Amino acid sequence: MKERFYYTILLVICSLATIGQEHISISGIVLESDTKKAIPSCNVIVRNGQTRLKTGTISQGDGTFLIHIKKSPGETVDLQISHINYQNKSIQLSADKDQQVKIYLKHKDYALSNVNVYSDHLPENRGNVFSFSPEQAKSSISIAGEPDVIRHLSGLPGVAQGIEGTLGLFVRGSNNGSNRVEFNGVPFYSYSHLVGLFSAFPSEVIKQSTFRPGGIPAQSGDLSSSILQITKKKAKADSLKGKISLSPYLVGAYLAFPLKKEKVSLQLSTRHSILPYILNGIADLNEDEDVEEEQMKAQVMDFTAILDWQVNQHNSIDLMLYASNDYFDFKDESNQNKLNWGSKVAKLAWECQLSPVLEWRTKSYFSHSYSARESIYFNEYRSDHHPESQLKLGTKLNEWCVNSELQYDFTDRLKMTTGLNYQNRAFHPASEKTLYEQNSHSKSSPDLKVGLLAAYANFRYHIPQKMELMAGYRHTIQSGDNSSKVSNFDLRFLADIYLHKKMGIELTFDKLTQYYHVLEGLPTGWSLNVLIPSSDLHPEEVTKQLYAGFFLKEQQKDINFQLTLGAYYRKMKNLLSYKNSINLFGLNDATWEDEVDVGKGYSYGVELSGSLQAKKLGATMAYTLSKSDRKFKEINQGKSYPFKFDRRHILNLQTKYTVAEKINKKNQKVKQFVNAVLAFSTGHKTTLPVSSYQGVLPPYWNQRANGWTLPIEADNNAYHRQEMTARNAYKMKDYFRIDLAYTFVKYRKKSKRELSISIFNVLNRKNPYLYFYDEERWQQLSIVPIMPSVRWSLSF
Amino acid sequence: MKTNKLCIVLYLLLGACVEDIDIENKWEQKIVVNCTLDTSSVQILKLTYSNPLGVHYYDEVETATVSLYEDSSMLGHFTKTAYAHWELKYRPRAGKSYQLKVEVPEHKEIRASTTMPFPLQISKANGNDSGTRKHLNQKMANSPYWLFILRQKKSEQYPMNLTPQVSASDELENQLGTNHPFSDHFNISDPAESFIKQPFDMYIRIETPEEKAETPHDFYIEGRLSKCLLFCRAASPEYDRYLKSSIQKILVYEASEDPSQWFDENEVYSNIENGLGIFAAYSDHILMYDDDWGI
Repeated sequence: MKERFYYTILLVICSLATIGQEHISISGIVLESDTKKAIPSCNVIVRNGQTRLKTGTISQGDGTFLIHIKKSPGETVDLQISHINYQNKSIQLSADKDQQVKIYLKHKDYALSNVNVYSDHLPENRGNVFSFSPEQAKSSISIAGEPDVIRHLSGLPGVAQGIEGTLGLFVRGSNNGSNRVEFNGVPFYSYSHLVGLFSAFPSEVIKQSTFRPGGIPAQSGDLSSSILQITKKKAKADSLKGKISLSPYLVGAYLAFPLKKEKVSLQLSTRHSILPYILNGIADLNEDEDVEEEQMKAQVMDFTAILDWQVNQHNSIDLMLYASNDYFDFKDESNQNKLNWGSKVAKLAWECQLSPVLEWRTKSYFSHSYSARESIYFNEYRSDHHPESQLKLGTKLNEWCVNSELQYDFTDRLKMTTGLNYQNRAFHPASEKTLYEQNSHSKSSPDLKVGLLAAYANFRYHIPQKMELMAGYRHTIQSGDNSSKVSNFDLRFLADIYLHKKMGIELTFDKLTQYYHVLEGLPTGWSLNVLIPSSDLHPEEVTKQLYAGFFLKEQQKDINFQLTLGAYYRKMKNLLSYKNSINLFGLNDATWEDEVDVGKGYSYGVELSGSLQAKKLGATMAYTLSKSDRKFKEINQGKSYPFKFDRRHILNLQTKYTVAEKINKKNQKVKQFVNAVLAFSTGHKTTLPVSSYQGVLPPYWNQRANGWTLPIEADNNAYHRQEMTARNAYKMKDYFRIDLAYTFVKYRKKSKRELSISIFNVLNRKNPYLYFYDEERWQQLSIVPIMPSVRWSLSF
Repeated sequence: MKTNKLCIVLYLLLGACVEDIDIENKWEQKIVVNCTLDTSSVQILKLTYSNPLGVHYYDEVETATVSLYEDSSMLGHFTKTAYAHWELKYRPRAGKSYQLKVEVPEHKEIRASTTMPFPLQISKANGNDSGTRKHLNQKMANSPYWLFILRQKKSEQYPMNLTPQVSASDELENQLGTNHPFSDHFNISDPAESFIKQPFDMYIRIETPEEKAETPHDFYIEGRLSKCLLFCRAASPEYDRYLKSSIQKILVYEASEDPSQWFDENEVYSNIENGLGIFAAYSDHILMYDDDWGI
């Protein structure tokens, strides 16, 4: 006891002596340059003249540090920050007064360097935040053999996939169109290739993807289910980097190079599918075989260009141009059918560090999304084969947006982000008919113009390993065609409370509002949907959601383990649904309004996720037990019915095992690893005919004019009726799939070669896409059987 | 034809596979009642059983008590007059509500109700009528209604009886058009095959919004109209829903081999409690045209 007393006295005396020597403090925070997230465990040292070490420290869990040095009027010191995953940074500071600094570190380029990542979930993942890099997304083996950040979502808890093999993602019982997908801060309404089989974002330009099904910050709006934010990679502005990749589905090229060393860099990426060329070749062969007038054309491509300009230490600008296009065209002597969808985006953003605690970010973008099915009918009696009529179905959306926000750090723990966002949109939904020779009678839906103004404020209070609190408010005003002025507010709340260093609880509440609807012709995630703005007739979608969960993190030697377990309840209103989507897909309706109904939805469930990361083995697991219902006035006689993707059980397992990592005889580093994926989910719901019964014929049906014949199936449906199950009352066969992949990576002095061999659905299980009754028997259509793929890439 | 060959190609491209399957049979036999009341003096009802899917020969219900009520007062019982065919001599009255009760031994009591619509107040209007365009005036339409045309092929004689009469040789016109502002576009057809700018397949459905039901509307119809009967059929809500959903279902199968039919989940409307079928009502107002005789 006495000893402790003397010790304290000594410390006080030493402290007083130090103060007497006139010291200054250098405090600050270290942040990641792209995401603005705090970086803990950085080495922070202060040197005088690059030689003599004055003092040093390590940044805390929240990225902050504090160093005291002797006051030296007229002198400068170097503050140097280093971290194994980030590029070093050094700045000069005056040593005659206290200094407060904010340091931004750039991430080292993982995709092009010799770093292997085993885990699929970063340590910060909890029940409502899942972040992953493209490298980690590889653990979800995609059909195309490419890392696919959208497909990776289907392996996360709370996410039900759509119809077999497609990218429809139904988060916590919501519609696919209620998700918001942002790439480099720009929302995308069309983001899939080849009828929804893989995403339109090239992995080479992606740094990280963050998925949030709840606890969504107020900065993100105009969504009613979840958000996926895909951040771009920032190319090194000092060297040339590139990549070429080849697979049976896609051929890709990526190039990153400095335009002005250390200042301006440019990334270019393009991907094309070679499948269409094979199709075109088949079509050409057919021509040789005298199959007259039949022509097939197709194209699948995307292009991304990103320019980063580090104007100075405090200002940076980025410019992005993006285009994707899917086009399929089949023509014969009587008609021509075309499918076309894609996006074109231009974005300019400016980030400015006004002071160590105040940052201003502003961006503006223009995006053009489109999807269309077009049918052209030819006049067979005209020699010039002139088109006589045209029928279009689909949507077009032009959107421009200006966003400006300020981030102010009250303290190292309390931060506020506030901003304004204005979106101007012109929707062009629905069908269109044109008679080429009677233009005065052409019918075309007018553009529906909508303005959306949002103001938001989001507060975040964070004490590492103790708590994270987030509260956000977003107020939005919409006005436009077919809509009175509408004003709504969103509330967002998240609380992570650590009960112990390794475990805690998470609570979230979200009130989300979405000001557009996506009418899904086919529930596949395929972009061939109709986008319409909310209006008086079809009010904005509103979702309220509660989540309560538990998280655990454990680290022992080389093993990291984490677990999340939580339950949610979600209530959705003003959902839009086709009464019968087939009526629009089959082009029987001239207006989409006739087939649309407004209703409600409910969903609740339990989500469990876990990840294990060892030196050679990484594994993740996600399980969801959930129920989701819908209620529409004019569907199922107004009674509640199961949502089409009300999958009771969803289980996803992913593993990655490093088989070998060694130096070969040529002194080259070589790595081999295998991936395995298991996906199981309860079958989706459908409505089926169960019996036949006598019908009442339409008036004078038997007196139709001679020669006016219909296919036998149509005539059958005039005389006979089909008794259908209640809406979505039939559960299809469970979905089950195992995928395997083997990857061989060879590192050379300045390049990396990678060969991946993957087999999607290795068991060749015929999972149901749909059931149909044809030729007096039940049949099942499966579209994704066993699909092997080989992908070779060269990075330099 | 709307054959979607492109879809077929895409499915083939992906190695799609179609195979026969056995699915759990959820079929159970039910009683089917079909009765559409009209303005004639005899009402007809069909009473059959449902069948497994695809079996299109229907067994009759041999024994049943079928009663019709008007505003809850019994009007009488239907009598079986032929195979599955039941009749009741009664002419329904516009605006009255009717209830049907069918009792079959060892089955739950079957019930349904409907309302007899008022006849439409539609008349020929002055306009530059031609053989392909006729002008009309709608004075009042309190219920949805349907327009269709029977083209008369028989007899060049002056029609002695100016009361419209349907002959077995009359033909239902394939395509007709209108400029009515409240026409339902659900069955708009391929314009390439017609001289009509916006042709409807055989029937035009018109649903005037409630607030404009009593506002007169001038409009025209188009088709081959030089010698025809124009039917203006006022429909009870049940008849309207049944007919529209029936035609929607037919239209799905209008093209052969269109894979989009595999997604068909259309259900034809039924208002029969504890059974299947339809109990509905309509009232026809028929206009006769004969350009040869200036009618």
